[in-house]
Amino acid sequence: MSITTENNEKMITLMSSDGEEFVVEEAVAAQSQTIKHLIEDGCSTEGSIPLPNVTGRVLSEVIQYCKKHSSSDDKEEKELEAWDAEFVKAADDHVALTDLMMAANFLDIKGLLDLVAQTLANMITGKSPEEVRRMWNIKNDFTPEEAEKVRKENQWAFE
Amino acid sequence: MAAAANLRLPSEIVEALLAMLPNKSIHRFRSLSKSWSSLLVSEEFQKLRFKSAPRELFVQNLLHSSPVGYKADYVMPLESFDYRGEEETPTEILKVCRVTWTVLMVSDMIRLPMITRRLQDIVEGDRGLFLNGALHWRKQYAPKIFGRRNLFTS
Repeated sequence: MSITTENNEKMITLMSSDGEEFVVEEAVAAQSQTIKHLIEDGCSTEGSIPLPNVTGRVLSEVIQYCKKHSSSDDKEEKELEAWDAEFVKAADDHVALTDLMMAANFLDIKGLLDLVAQTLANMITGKSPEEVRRMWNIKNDFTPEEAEKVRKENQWAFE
Repeated sequence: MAAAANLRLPSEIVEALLAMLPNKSIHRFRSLSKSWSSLLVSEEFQKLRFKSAPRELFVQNLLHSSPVGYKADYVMPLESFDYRGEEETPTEILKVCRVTWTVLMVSDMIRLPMITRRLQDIVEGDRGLFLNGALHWRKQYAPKIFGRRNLFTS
């Protein structure tokens, strides 16, 4: 893709929770507001920036997204949308998408957070409450009476 | 997959995710668990859903069909007024009528009885759009109330 060391682009090293190191251009890393603030505070001058909440597998996906979006100013918006659609399709199960959304939230990358949130939302839109509970191990803590009441109140949404 | 068996949906992202859902799913998921239920009926959630969702994405998401390219400047979720209809078709609003507190639609003149009195705040509003449980206006046609109060504006 783009090797821009000849432009004297400053490089940043990011370290995932499982110790994997990624060397990326500062402009790419700064798509993350969290990293941007760490850089501004001088945290990148010595060694790498540790990201204790993000595994190497997820971080490499995030970097892929940031690279695309930092280099796409002059590109057609349509093309970027198509790229985004492919990107989330590649991670197309709710386990991987939940990890990705957690990372986007922690790293504060609004575009990625919205993209993944929308994808997950589309995934569960037509599902029943029971199906959604199974996806994330959510406990049904209503008593049978309470459950019946809430369900009655929202009966139209089940039809 | 073993990882999936232990997967949790952390509270810090659940709100952002649910804010992207259409009206009907939100009502259905109120019976999912107590914490989902209280989140989904909270005023904060209503505001988040209609204010901080990316406007274009959101309106696009709401519009299942035409009119193409309609962008709302003001959105008012009728859920906040306890409206529980399941109207999914985008419908042009003729007028929010002061006298009877009903919303008159252009297409078939459906009358939506408004349940609470809060809608009385609206003095008048023409040429809006009703879809997925929310009223949408363009700026030039918005009810005057939006000029004075910003509660539901984008």
